[in-house]
Amino acid sequence: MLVIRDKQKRAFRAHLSKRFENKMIVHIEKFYPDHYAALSQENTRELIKYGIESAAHYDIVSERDVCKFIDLMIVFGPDFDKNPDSKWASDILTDATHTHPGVKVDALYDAGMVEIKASL
Amino acid sequence: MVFGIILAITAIIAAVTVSAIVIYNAMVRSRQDADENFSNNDVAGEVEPCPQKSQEDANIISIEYLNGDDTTELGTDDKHFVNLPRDAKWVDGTHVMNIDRLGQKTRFKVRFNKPGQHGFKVIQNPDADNIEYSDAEKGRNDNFKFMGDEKSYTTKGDGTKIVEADFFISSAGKDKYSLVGRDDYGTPDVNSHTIESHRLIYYLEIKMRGLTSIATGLGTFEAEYAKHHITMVSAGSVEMDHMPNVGNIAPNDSDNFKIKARTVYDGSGQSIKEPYLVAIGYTDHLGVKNPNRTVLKANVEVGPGKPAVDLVPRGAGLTSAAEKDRYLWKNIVPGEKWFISAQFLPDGGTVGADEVNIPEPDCEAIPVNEATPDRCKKVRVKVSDLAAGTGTITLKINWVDRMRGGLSFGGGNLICVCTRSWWRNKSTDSQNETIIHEMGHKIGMVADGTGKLPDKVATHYTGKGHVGGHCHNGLSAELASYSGVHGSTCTIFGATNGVAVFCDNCKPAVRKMDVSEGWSAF
Repeated sequence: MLVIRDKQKRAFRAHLSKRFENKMIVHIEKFYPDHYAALSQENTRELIKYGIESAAHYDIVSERDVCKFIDLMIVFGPDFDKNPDSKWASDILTDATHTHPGVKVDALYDAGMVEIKASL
Repeated sequence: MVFGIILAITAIIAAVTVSAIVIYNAMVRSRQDADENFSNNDVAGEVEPCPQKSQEDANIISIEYLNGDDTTELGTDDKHFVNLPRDAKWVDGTHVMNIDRLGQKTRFKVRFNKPGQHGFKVIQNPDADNIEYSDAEKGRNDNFKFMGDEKSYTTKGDGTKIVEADFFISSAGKDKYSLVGRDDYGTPDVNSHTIESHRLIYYLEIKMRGLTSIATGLGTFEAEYAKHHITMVSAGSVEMDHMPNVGNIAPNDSDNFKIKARTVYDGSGQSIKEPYLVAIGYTDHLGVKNPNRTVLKANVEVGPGKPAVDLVPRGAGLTSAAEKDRYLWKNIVPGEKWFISAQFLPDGGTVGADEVNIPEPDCEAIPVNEATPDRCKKVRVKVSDLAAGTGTITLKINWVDRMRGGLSFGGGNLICVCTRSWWRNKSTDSQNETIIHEMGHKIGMVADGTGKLPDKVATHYTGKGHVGGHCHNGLSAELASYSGVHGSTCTIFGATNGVAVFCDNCKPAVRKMDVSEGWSAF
């Protein structure tokens, strides 16, 4: 039987997290090139780490959902989930009716797009 | 996390200047990337997806209406214009943003999280508040139906599928639809955004030169139709030659008006918007003359010192048998007089031999009030110059049968509204009311349950002193005539009534109306 020790688990998690960061770097550079150019890769990586932590507060932990959460940080600012100017975000994130993180993130993303569309 | 770094990042992001449309499009594409290329595994999970896993792990990740091309998906709930065909010419960038928001057929895309041929099912989800068509209505008009069946598909090898034209929505306005996708592997259903049905009609204003009271705005008209999700869009205005009146006798008749209006319509450059263009003509009077009428008054004492005698024209109408006092045809069309002749026949005299002509200057039209000196329904005849005696005065005159507020011409895309009626200017509110009424006729109101129209409106009537199909809501259905009757509550009553909204009986029919065929040029 294969036994995975805690030390190995921690290393594996770190590996996955790093892999996600790298993937997000490519994603942000591709879809938000102006932001990426302004931030540099180093700051973008810090933003991704911060995004993973912030999203986890709302039980948003899957790659897909965290990716969308970080996208919204790019568009509305790193603290969009706490910023009074984007109250629509905190309203959704603290809405108890959204029990599934994926549903919550999609509702959040929809609301974000409505905000942007309203400014067109 | 170092707080200072995040503050710096916040400042950097705030300083980036990118237009909203670029951001919006980036969000649409990045969301798609997240759905397609990022897994449902935890960012720092304990299990990495195993490349050996089989197709059973594939899952449907999205179903979405397409939004302009095969790769762009609807990012938010949006309007969908059901009456306009799927043709790029209707994409105006203001109301219609792309070709996928046109027509009753819809296109959508389904994506799985991994390549392969995956089975899935789709059903269209109508909103609970959508209007419901009767079986009879659906039997008369296929456009009243929407696709309610579940359909099965298989993705292409890349794990996606575009469904082109299998699903359709009804021709009604204000209805909402979304799509539900379900894969064959037990993954939770996915839902699309919602499209909401609208209709769009362009209108071109044709204004007669010299009119002084043309409506200063059509906001009331546009707002009333917007309530029923019919977007009225101005296509500008052109000018035409003035006509003092549009009646039903040549040369001041409707045909002549149409010929003059058509000339400027053709020159407007807006005919490219046919068949979804309606011309709104602003006219002077829309009076109908009842010519050569006889007015009698017997037992009149005439002769030196005798006072003038008043005669009040009274009689049935051309479209209504009801007898009522009539206004003189005075100063409506230059050269057309109300007076034809006046005679006095002494009692005991022989008809055809003993009449005495009364000169026109001795017959005075008496105004109802000083404000409108041409609005007269009494003739005062001077009799003191006649030989003393008793007898009968006979007047031959032209009188006003009726004044129309507006007209909706059959067989084409023209309606008109008068800017003057009964010798008085009409207000902007009144003209909006009339345009709402006439446009109502143009779209098919009041529905009578025939042809491709919705079922008959409960308060529909025809005739009864009016011309065409109208709504008598607010009045008894038993009245023999609605001519001159007050108290109606619908804008599409057969006479001007001060109401600029469709009644509760008519609202569902307006919402249901299929205007996909549009109108040919008048």
